[in-house]
Amino acid sequence: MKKVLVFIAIITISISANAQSKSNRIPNFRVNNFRINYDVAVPLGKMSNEFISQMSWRGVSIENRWGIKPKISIGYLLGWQVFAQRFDNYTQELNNGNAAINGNQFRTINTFPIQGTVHYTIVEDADIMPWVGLGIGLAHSNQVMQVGFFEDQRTITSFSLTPQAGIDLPINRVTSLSVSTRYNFFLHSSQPFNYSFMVFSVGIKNRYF
Amino acid sequence: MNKPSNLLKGLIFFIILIFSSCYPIEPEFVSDFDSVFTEKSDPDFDFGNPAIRTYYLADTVMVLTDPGVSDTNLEVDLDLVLNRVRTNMDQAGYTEISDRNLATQADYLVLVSVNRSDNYFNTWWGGWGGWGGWGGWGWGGCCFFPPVVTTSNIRTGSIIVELLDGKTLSQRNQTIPEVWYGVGSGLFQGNNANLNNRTLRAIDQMFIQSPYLKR
Repeated sequence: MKKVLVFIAIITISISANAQSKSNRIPNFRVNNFRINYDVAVPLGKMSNEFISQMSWRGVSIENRWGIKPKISIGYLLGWQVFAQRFDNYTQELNNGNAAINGNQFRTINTFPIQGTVHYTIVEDADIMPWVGLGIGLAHSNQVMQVGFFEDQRTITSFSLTPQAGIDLPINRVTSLSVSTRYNFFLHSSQPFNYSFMVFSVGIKNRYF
Repeated sequence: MNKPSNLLKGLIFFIILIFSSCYPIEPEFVSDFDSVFTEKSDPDFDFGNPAIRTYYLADTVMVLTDPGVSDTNLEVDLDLVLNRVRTNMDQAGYTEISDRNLATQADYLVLVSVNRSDNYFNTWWGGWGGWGGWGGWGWGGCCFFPPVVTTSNIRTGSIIVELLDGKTLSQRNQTIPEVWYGVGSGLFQGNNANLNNRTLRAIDQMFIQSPYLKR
């Protein structure tokens, strides 16, 4: 009985020691992973100057990445970010200065990027795994400006380009904490300004077979 | 895929909490619905013409209410409204012609009207497929039978100030072209003092946001 207990103790210790030292040394077919992120965003450029400059605290994205090479993965990203800002007693010129509207203005942008992504993990074999990547795809956005009873609503589909970088911090063999940043550039020709905003996200990454 | 970790579940819950609405900032107070719109109805009209110096203010405010409404007594003090339009025209540098017989000589004819209208709508609670609206939809209250129908009224009001080009008025009974108008609109709600204040503020704002009217 005592021998059995000692045997179990040795096995347990060695497994946990192994898990600590080689937590990420797992076969390549296990680098497939699913991610869910909480995103905050800072508007930049014309989007910030002309429409909303306030930081967005409402954002979420889900990702799936499939490993195709030891350090390279491809996948997709679906996101949602809500920007909103209130302008009190604001006068907006319309129709080349021939008209104007004053009131408390409420501006909102709901934007949904749908992207294909490619990622390169710089160090696969460590307790901190930094990576860089690029997302290319579309973004569907809904832009609303509201004054009193009046509302100007635009639905915009844009080309989206998103260079990104992040760090995965493994918690255990399966789950990692992921901290990343993405620069979103949404190009649409029919609007006076393109969207550009910086996203900072914290998320959970789950590996699976 | 593995069973989602507790951390993952927690994050999903947190995100659902955060996203209670796609429109996080919306009008809250009655005054948030107030707006003042001004437009040059004739953009080619030369507002800077130094020959424009005088105006005649129609002595009656036209009151427009919904047909069939018995209560047409507006809580807005129409004398205050007229006086405020007069003050603003004077401050803009125009001289009033108060003699009705000389009205045809005025460069601008100023008309003021007030409009109040009722907007009825039905709200459904419960039943299958409740009434929506962003953020107004609760998971908890869904689906009891029979549904409760509430009829509500949003009473809106507007004040309209028009400038007509008096110089084109060559003879009586002719349509006079309008060159500028301002509309202040909002919810017709609150006590009399509040309504009056908001109406008068709207008149001031019409002139503030139309600097080209200044002499």
